[in-house]
Amino acid sequence: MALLKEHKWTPNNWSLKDKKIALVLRGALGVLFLYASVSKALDPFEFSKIVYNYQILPEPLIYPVAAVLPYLEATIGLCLILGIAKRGAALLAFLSMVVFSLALMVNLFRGINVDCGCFDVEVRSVSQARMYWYVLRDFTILFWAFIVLRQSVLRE
Amino acid sequence: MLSTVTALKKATILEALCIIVVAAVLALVIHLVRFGDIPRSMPIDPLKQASKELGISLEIPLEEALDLHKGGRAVFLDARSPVDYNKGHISGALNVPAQDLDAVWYQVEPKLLGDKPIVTYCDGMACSLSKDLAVALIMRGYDNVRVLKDGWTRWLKANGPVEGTQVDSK
Repeated sequence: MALLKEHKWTPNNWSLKDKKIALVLRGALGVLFLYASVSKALDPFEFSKIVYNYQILPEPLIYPVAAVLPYLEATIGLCLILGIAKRGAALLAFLSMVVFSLALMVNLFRGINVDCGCFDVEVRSVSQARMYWYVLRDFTILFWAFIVLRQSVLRE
Repeated sequence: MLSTVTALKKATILEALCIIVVAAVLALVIHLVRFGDIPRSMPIDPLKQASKELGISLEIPLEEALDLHKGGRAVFLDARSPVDYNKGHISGALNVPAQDLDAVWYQVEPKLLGDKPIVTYCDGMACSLSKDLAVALIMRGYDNVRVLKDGWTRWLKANGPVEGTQVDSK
């Protein structure tokens, strides 16, 4: 948690260890995003069913979103791993996690149990308990993405 | 938190926009190479698609299904897997996994009497099992087949009668 403290955020007093932790956090988030994109990119038709299940987007938008989202995740992941445009990538990683969490929570409140479709595209029927787990997992990644974003933008 | 927001500079937002553009172009190019074109409309709703092809509306409104169930005037078929079926299903529904129809047909056929309406269901808006089962039954000559879309979830929400190991039977 030392990375959260404000005084750590001028590059001058960053120790080598801090830099390493920051690098690992960013790289690992990148790997997660890249990993999540693979099955969706391979089968956009299956993924569009998942997007449809969320019952949030109007029908004409479902396929375009299902087709582009995996590549957005993959690009974000690669940028985070390679350190290219890392501030932008971190911002997008954070924002996409906000959107994913909201989409899940909207359905949790509506009482619709949707399959998350976060890391694979197999449509299953899911329980309420599983929905809570999805939300918890998304919040964890959201927090992680926030730390990475903070590191990236404050370390100018 | 605030310091993070104020540190978001124009450059960051510009980078983010670039990533979005790169991803969109990448998606477009790869899609064109793999599938040859960009579909204008997707057969996302399997039920709507099947209804269109058959020229009849397969979907049954929830209220109508509840009504038929109450009067015992329809046969309900659960198209999900036996595992899901055993956990919980509409009271009195038979388990007919869509992909195993041939294997269980000898058990199912005697239960489908005369013109009694048949209602198939599975779970999830995009689940196509109930539609597959309905189409298979229509192919076998049954005319009065309807599909209860997102059936299990909506049935539970409407407090319809259910039975199974993981539900409170009513």
